Amino acid sequence: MTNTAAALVLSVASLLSPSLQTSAEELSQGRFRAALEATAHEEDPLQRARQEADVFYAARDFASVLDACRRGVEAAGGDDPWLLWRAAGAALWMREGRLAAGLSERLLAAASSEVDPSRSEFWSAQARAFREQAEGFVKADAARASAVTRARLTVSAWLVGLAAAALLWRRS
Amino acid sequence: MVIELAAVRLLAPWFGSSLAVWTNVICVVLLALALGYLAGGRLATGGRPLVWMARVLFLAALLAAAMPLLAPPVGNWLMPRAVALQEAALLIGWGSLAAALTLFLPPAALLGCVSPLAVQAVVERSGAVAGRAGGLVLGAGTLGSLVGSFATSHLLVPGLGLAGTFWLSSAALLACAIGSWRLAGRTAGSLAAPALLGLAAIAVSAWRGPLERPELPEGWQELAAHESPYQSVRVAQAPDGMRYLQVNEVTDSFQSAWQPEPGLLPEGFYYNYFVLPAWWAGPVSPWRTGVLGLGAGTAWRVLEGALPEEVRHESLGVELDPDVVRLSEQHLGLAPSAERRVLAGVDARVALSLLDDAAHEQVLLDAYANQVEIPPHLCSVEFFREVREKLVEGGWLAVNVGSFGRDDPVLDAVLDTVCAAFETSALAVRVPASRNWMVYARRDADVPPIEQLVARTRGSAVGWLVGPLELESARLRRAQPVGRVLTDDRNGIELLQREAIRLASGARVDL
Repeated sequence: MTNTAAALVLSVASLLSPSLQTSAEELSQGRFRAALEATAHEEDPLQRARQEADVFYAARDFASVLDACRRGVEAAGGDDPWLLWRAAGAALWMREGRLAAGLSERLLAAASSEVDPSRSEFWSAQARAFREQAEGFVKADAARASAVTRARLTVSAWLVGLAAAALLWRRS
Repeated sequence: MVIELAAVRLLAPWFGSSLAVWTNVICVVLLALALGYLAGGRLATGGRPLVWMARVLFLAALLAAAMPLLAPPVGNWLMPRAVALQEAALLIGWGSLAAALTLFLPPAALLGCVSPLAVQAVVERSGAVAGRAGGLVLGAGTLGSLVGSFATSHLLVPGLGLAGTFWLSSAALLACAIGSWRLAGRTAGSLAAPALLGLAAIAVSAWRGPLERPELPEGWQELAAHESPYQSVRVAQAPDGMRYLQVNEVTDSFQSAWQPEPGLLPEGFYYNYFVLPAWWAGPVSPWRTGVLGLGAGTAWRVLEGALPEEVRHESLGVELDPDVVRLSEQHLGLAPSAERRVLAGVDARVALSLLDDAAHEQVLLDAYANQVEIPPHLCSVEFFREVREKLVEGGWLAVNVGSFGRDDPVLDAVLDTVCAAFETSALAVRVPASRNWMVYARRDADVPPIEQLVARTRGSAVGWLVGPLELESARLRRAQPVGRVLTDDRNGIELLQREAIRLASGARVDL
């Protein structure tokens, strides 16, 4: 994502209340606690969750990003592109391939229901980029699961073989 | 014993050499020996024990020669590339067991056959009673194991490498097989074919060259690789130019990182957090540090480029593996000098006793074994008390702890233990975008409140490291121990580390 594109879309995406403006300013100054505290004064739970997710994302605390997004989605009663975008990014940092892939799909769906074409295009592009990265992790997950299965089968084969040899031994 | 000890080293590039891997290999070898003893006893009752002994030794020689060839495909088949550490627990456990069964059970079982056959041969040739013959064979076998153990660790692997060790073992087994054959009264002519076959196996294995290592991710380049007395060491360069030191590394982890310019590394590298105490303490020059677990000297390079301008750095770095130091000097910019000395080949705890008391502004502990394990003797309350004595009043300890989160049992235990040893408060901070935490404590002083720490670095070159620590979720402070304190006598860090990986791999996030 280019910063310009993000700034353009995101500035349109939300008209910040005074408390959220304060939070954004504190965050830009690297004052994380003040930024988070300022979000507490925001009455709209969706806007609050978005800003909290932003603060935690900037602090690279991805588990907290997901928590904030979860609260926001619950408050919104449905998917919100911004929260999905943040959550998918956090999931990728955490190498949670399946989660990131699922969130990317949801972001793609949410993007298609956007009225503004520029926003829809932006979210769609982001979703596709996330999905591509997520697929790499999903493939790695699948390779890992296959390797565990191979190892278990190998061990089982050895045990069965040894048990069979023991039986033959006794009979002879 | 040569094969058993070298077996763990042979698997290490794929599965590491953690307690789980050692346990699997030892269990497989014991199982194989038990099976071999039973089979050997049965063969011995059928007569011609020396002939059978020659045959099993010959087969064992062939398998030993083949092992360096077989290990890479087996390892690659069972362990995918660059798995995340928290996802590798199952793979390491099951994969190393499967690999040990496949690679080591057959030759170890064959070698197990030798003892009962040898006992029978002694009984038949000397007329000794079974007890005396058994004592003779067991005594000779155990002495041979003793020599093999010492030779493998101290001479063969460092001198010949892993593959060379297996080739030499194969040649020795082949010689024993020939000796048995001749003792059995068989003609020299009948030896020619199997002896040639054995030598051909060794030659083919040797022709393939040194042991292949696990593949690097696409675009990466291996700059150097070496079998040290302690571990498999490799220097690899990523497509972005960063270089990494890996020792027995099977996951996406590494032991040291290097970038062309000294100074702070990109976000996510915990080494950056070693420099913070020098900023928090105010300008103190020289800033004298002891680095326990120097590796390739990444902490030095970070401090070199990121200490406050007026501060001069003096340090003694301790690294257990001299080959790590040698490779790091060649490829990772490690440059010892009069102000920055390296003590190589010495354990950190032993080295600690050589440091002057109350003469260090900071001690950095970054000692890991087997990728994930802080050695127990480097995370006990007794050890941290010794560290405390090396610090000046108000001096800082900084410990790198691999941790999967705030509730990680390893982090909890280390924090409590440091707290108990220093008898002051200790602070743990999450290194953003990493799976590391840094634990700080001070001699005879509390770590100041986070607000003060942030204020002292705001606007400085390291300010961006400290800002996120303002968030409650990014830190843990302990005024006094609340849980388990690790001691030399009752440590259990290995179990805590396994528990941490188990918890992390089982954790499911959703939205």
